[in-house]
Amino acid sequence: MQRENISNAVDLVVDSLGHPSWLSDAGAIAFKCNDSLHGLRPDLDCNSNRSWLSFIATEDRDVAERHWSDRGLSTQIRMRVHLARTRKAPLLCELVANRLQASGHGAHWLFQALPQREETANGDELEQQITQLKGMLNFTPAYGWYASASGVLMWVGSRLASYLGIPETHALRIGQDIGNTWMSHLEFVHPDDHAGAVKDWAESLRTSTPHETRFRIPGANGIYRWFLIRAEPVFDRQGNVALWIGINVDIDDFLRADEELRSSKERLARATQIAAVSEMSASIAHEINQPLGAIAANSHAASTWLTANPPNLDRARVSIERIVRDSRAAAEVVQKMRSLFRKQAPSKQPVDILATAHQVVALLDSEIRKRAFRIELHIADGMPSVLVDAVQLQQVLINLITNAMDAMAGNEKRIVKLRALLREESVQIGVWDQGGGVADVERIFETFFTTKEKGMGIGLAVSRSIIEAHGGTLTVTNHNQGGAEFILCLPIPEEPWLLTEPNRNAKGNLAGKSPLGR
Amino acid sequence: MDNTTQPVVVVDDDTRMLESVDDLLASAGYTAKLFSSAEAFIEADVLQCIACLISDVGLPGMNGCELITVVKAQAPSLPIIMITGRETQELREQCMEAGALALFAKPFDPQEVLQVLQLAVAPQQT
Repeated sequence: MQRENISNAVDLVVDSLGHPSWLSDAGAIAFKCNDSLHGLRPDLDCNSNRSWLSFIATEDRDVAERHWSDRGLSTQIRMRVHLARTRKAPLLCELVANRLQASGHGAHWLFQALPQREETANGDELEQQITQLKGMLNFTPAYGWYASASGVLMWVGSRLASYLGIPETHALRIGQDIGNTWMSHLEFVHPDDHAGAVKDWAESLRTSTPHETRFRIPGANGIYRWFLIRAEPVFDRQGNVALWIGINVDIDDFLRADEELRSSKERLARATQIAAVSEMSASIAHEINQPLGAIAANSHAASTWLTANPPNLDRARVSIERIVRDSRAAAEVVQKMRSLFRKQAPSKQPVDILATAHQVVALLDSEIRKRAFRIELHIADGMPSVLVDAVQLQQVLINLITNAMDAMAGNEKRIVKLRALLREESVQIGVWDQGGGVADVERIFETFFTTKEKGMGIGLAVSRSIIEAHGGTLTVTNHNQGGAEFILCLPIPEEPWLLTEPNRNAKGNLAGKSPLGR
Repeated sequence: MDNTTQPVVVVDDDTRMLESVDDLLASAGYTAKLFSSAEAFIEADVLQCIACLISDVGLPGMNGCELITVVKAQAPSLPIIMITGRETQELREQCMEAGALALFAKPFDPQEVLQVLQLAVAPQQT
């Protein structure tokens, strides 16, 4: 009676357990199953003398059998196995069996199966992380989003969704894969920024490295604002990218302030430049007008001497000789003016082309963005340093790139290519545009020759004289893609370190200076 | 045209200009006295016996505008013709206010200068 009571009490305990549980005798025959186990196996009949081993998924049955037969005198056995389920994948469980008080037929065992989370990389765990991530991103005071391993934008946070004007029911709010591609987010990018956005994203996806780019995103009101886009890859245990977590930062106000500052600086610089140029042209004019005035007076005098009656040939000859002398003087002024541009001896140092290209693009950054241009750098690998005045080379490149953008103002082409190649004994740098080309490839370099409405015709003349002062050449050719390419060639120094100290031999050892001393 | 008794004074720091204006005046029948600075001209003290002053504006030391004022103080009726290599509206007004008869920008038209000179000198002849 007492044993029966105990037995009933155990049955009650088994029934009350929330996880799959059963009782087995020492011969592994299950004789009592709870509802939770029936939930996994509705077809199971616990009164048909079945071995509990049949509850275990086929692939784990050997393991289970070994644990069971090795139990010896232990009062508890534990194993990690899958329970078979009707019409469903086996369920991973921690199976704990406790030996109950001995009865007449030997020990009874209480089996309890505690379901475990599967530890596969892309399974429930990731799912759970994503759920956590969504919560976090929704609470972060920033525009959060995530993309799949292949770069497909999957989900946007509540703040970004309300900026974009996306309803709560949108696939991007739920995080559903609706078969989008890795470029489908371009829908939310300003058309002029597509090329850059695609290029930067493709690069990050290829290298699995942190992503950073800038583009304009349209708000629900249709107004575009500039954003800084940053994303980090999240790796799974195998080291593969599982997803990308991204944050967008609104930098529109910042850029605007920055741009205003820059443009006022530019205006100031330009005003100063204009003042300097007009001052210079006034001096040039004075220098030239002086002999011209003399020539005019002498011509008139000569003409009067010749038409007098009788003609005064001696006086006329003197006047004409002075005309010849003064016109030579005028020509000398022009010559002097040209050498004025070359007067400043460049301070030459070894300069890296790629670094200079980056500096130039950085200096022009606001101008380029303001005018929606894109500068493509094509710098060949292994370019040697050239011996130039870094600032002057920058000035020349800035001048050429600005000209290229001016040439394309008002047409749809928006790319300037800056490329550098290694030629036999020179480095060749080209600034390529699609601005319609140059009508006269020689005159364009003349001082005061300009094709621009507000141009002064100084930039290219100065650029050429700078490059020539470096022993190089600056030329222009038209190409068949509707534009021009300004090409500057700079000689490669044979031994750059020797050339940095030109007076080395003159100073000699007396000065005690090493050739690299400067 | 050889009808002037008093010489015309030319002040310019550029020798070429002095020579050429001298030549121009000679060809037109005038005699000229040449000075390469305003100071040299004042020092010569010839104000009372000249027919006209032709001066450059941009002179070293005392400039042309200052010279007009100084000359006008001593010889208010002496006609003064100015010449400049850097013509501006401001300079023109300045010269006219100081009492110059005309301002010519280099390179000037010699014919025009001679015409103005003739007008300037003519009343004194009568």
